[in-house]
Amino acid sequence: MNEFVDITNDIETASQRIGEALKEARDTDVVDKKIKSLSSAMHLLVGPSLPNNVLDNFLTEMLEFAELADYRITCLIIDFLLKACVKDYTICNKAVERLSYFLIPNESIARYTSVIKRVVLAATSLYPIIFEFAINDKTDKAESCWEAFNLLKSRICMLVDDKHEGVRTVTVKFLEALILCQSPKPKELITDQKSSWSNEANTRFHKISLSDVPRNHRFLSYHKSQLEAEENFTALLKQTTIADITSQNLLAVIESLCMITRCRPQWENALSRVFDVIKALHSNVPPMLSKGQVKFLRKSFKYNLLRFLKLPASVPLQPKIKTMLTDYLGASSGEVMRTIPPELIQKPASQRPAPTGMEPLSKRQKLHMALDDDDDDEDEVGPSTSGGNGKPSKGKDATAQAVDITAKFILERLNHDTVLSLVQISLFTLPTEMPAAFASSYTPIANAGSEPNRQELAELMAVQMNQKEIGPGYEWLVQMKRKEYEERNRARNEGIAIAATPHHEPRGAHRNGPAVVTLKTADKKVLPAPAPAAAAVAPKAKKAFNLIEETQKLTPEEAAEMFDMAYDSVLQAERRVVAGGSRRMYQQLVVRLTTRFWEDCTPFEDKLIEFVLAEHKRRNDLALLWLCELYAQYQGYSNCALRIKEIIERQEGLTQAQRLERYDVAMCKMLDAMLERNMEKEALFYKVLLETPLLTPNAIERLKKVCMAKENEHGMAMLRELIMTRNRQRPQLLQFLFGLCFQNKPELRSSCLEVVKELCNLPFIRSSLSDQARMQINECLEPIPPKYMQSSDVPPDTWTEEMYRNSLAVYATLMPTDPMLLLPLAAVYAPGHNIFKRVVLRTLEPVFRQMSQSMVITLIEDCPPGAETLVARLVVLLTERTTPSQELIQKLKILHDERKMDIRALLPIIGGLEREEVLRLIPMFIFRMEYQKSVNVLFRKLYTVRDQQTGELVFDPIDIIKEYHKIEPSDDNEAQLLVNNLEYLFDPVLLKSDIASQAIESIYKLEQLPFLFLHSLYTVYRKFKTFESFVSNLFYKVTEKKAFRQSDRWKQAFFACVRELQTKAYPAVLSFVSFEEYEEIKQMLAEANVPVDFKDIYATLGSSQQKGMDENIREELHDKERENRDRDRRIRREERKEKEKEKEKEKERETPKDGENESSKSSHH
Amino acid sequence: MNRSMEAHSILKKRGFNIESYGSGNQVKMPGPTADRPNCYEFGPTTYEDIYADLTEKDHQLYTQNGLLNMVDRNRRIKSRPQRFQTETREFDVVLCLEERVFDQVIDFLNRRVGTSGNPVHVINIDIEDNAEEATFGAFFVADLCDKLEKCEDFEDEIDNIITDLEEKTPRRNLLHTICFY
Repeated sequence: MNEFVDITNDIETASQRIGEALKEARDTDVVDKKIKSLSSAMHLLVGPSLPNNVLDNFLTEMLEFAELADYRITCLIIDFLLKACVKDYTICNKAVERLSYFLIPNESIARYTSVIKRVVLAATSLYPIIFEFAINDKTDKAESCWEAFNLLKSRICMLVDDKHEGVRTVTVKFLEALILCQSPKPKELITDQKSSWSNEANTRFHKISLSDVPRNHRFLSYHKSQLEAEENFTALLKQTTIADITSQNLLAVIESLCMITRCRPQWENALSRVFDVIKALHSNVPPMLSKGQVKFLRKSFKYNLLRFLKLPASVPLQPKIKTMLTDYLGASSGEVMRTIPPELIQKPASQRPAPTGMEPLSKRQKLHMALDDDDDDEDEVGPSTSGGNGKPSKGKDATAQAVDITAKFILERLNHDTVLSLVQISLFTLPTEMPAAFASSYTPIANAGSEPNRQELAELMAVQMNQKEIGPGYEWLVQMKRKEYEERNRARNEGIAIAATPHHEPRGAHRNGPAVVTLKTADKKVLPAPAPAAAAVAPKAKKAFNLIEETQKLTPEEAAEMFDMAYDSVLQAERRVVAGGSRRMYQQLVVRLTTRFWEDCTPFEDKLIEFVLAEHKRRNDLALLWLCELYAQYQGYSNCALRIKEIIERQEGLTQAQRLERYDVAMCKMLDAMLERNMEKEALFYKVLLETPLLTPNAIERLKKVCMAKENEHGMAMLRELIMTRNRQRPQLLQFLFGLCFQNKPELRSSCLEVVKELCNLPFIRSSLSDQARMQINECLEPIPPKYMQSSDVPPDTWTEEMYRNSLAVYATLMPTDPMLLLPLAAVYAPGHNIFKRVVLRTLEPVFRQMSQSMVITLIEDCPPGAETLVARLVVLLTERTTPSQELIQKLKILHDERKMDIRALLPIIGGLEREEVLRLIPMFIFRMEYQKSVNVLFRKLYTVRDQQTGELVFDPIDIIKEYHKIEPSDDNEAQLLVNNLEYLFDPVLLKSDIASQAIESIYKLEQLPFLFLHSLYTVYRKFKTFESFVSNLFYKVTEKKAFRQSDRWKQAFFACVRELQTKAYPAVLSFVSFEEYEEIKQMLAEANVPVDFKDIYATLGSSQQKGMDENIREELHDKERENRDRDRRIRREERKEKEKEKEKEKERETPKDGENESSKSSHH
Repeated sequence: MNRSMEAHSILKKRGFNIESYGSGNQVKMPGPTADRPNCYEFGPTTYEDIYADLTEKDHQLYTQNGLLNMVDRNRRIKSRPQRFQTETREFDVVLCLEERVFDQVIDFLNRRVGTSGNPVHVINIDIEDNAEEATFGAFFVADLCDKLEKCEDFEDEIDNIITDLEEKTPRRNLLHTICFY
């Protein structure tokens, strides 16, 4: 009981652990961790202690992980399925279904080939399991499983010519499993499991075989299974005849064949057929193999043949195998003899003399016997079950038989004369290097000319002739193949899975080129150019063959049609060719067929484009090669250049310009086709633009489309790459890039500028960029804007500000990194249109602000005439940030003097000028209308500029103000300007009040007081509020001196001052002016709407002042009525005071006399 | 013990998942004379044991001929010599550094009854058995492995890689075959 509980607990904890592991696998995002957790779950699940139902419970959950689309996980799941099937047969159905699904190639998963390989491997291991399941299980499940597995099997068989090497290899092993499982196991192996034979039959597929299938099985057909194995065995044998098979696969095939032979030596006459294959291979090693590979192949032959000698079935073949081993594979006779088990050595030894010292004659007889007895082999050897099906012979492979027939034919003719001429011919055609396969297979001198040697030679040549498809054996083979094909088709119709037989192509056919001749009669056979060795062996052909007589010309239509068909089939052959490793040759062929044979190649070009785009990822090389060919033709250095040369000499065909157009059209067609399908983001599009020899302007237009699309990052990236890589076309491409700035799209412009910025970081592009930018601004001088700048909404011959701005955009981006661009800009600026100038100053201002002092100096030195304004602006912007150096000041002064520049240009450097110069400059600023706006700047500079070293003000403001007042106006206008600009002279922001007052005082002290002084007075009064008394005081003094009578200008100044100072001025006015002047002032004030009551003012004056006044004024202002009124009022007031005093006294006397009080009150009223 | 361990050390440093094995019946090392080699049993013997044994037998001789130095290096790579024929792990590629060993490996792999059926590539590269050649050879082997490692599917390219290398270095006796577990 306790034990039982323990087991349940164990299962529970195991289930828990599995659940946890699966949860871990689900939760983590790291594939490695998933795999780790999954494998631990898998180990628990398939462990022997866990009951099957637990496995079943977790199965679906495990399988879900395959959806993660990672090849390693899928491989793990496949392993799991295999182990699960081993543990529990009932899972087989599910497993087969999943494996079938996994076998579908899935390109979206990286390294999916590994999954396919794993499926094939799993199916190989599953083969005996499922076969056993099918044989023994009594349920319907087994049948459906077997059916599904048959489907899977036929799909795997197709993989025998897959393009991946590894897949082909594992498929070969799968076929081995199929053959071993579906062929009957020899009884000896079943009964005696310790014999030397059993040791050699070391297959892992020994548990089950066809022998275990009962003849009356409900759904397994013994016959059909056997037939399937036979056909696949034949297919496997034929794999060895593929000319370009790789060493790896050849070895895999040979090992599999030898394994089958060791396990089933007599079935299907396997031993002798495989031996024949080895022999044929040995004498005709595939040409692709390298020295080391040939060496190992021979090693493998030796190893396997030695193992064959241990099989009882090898006894009849022993002499052949021994000869092969000792004569050709370098085994010593001792080694061979040691290998043969003693029980097998006896029989031949008793019948025949010692095998090593064989007489030529006896060997010949034996060989003949072997050859002649071919047809009877079947009866003698082995219990093959397929004997009754009426085939010509299963004892030998058909090819081997064909070789035998030809060998026999040759042997009959192999006399001294023929051999002699053969040797002679061979001497002329000897290759310079000894082929790898030849070095170890030459005939020992002693054996030369002996009977076995003749026999061998005949066989050797027969194999070659057979490969070249000549000789009686081959003719026989063709007939046989036809029959075989029909049979195989019949068998396939019955549902047998057979691996594909290799497709043999006559090697000569490749060299024939496009078909231009055809046979006149179908029954005559044209021999392809035979190999030298074979040529001499055809003594039969007596009648000279005349090719011209035998052929006739095709009509042009026929030729075109055939060409068309040939073209299509060449295109379709891609997969096979690529698998064979001749991709390059294939591409060249296609390209040449497409471009060279017709005047109008358009239909083929269209086909090619379709073909390329169908699988553009794999075929982009082809597209590029095609374009390269067209380019080579255009340049005249294509392989067909000679022909083109002739055509050109005859002045026929396309001119070079037309050939360029053809190249251009082809390229654009390709790009257009991709644009139509929205494939512009594919690598091919990029490659066509980037890797073709020449990018035509029309192709750039296609790129433009991509760049102008909404999401143009890709296009811009391509453009950038193009600019970076295409040295020769860089200017053109840069122009294109710059041109994009003129499209009416701000985002596009900014992405262009981004590209420019990135590119200008690359030193090798920067100079081109700068050159192009220079060229572009130079174009701004053109009378009409160039085409790329024009936009649709403006007439084509007008420049707009927008255009100028756009053409400066790139320049603005480049200038900060390349200050050398400043001079060219100035050169264009100078003769440029005013609008252009304005745009330059405005657009480039941020850039100008970054210019260094030295750059500005350089420009000043080399300033092109006309660019002075640019210089001035640059200096202004520079001095806003830094103090100008002495050098700059000097240079600018020189330039200014030489060019008679605008004096405003001197403003920024005014601190560097002498006092006298500045004093000379001030009237210029004041009196010229166009500088009026700069006057405030002038004073600001003058008041604020400080010495760089001492930090003190360069100019004394008092001095400046004083000097200002000394300026003599030449006319009224100038006088007015002087007055107007006082506004700036006395700017309270720049000038402190004490400075202002000091300045005014110093002016007042001048010997000749200028009229301007009065204007300054009221200006100061207005600007500095605290100056009231100071101003009125000074005004009083000036008026007292009667200065206003000096001139008209003085008078006006006086009037203006009065008007401005008002009450502060009036006392002085009343005190010192004449009556006429007084009247004028009154009138002036009235006109100016200044309300004034001089009488009040008059009243406030002291009597001495009043007395000093003009009499008439005093007269007017002296108010007599008022004087009288005042006097009356004064008298009344005095009277009232006296009355009150009297009343007081009365009160004191008569108190309390109220009534009187009241009466006085009323009387008063 | 010399060549394979040198290769083991370098490949391990380059991050390969690698093991090294002997293929003979015993661990055989040079002794005082050619006919008196030092032999040890695979399995229980550690490099520490061998080191101690050699030191005890003739410290000076084995220091002079570099044997002690070699064993010292080996014990820093792994604890004990291993025999290929007793290993149950499966590998993608087996590299043999002498044709005799290559033959033994292939014979072993071909004679054993198959298990999983997974393919294994067996490659022979001849390296002379001395310290200097062992180092050169190890780098050669490592370069070959690098090339294989870089392939997306090395089975597709191994043929070309091997034949290219063979052309460049004919004296290496490059042999390649495929076997199955």
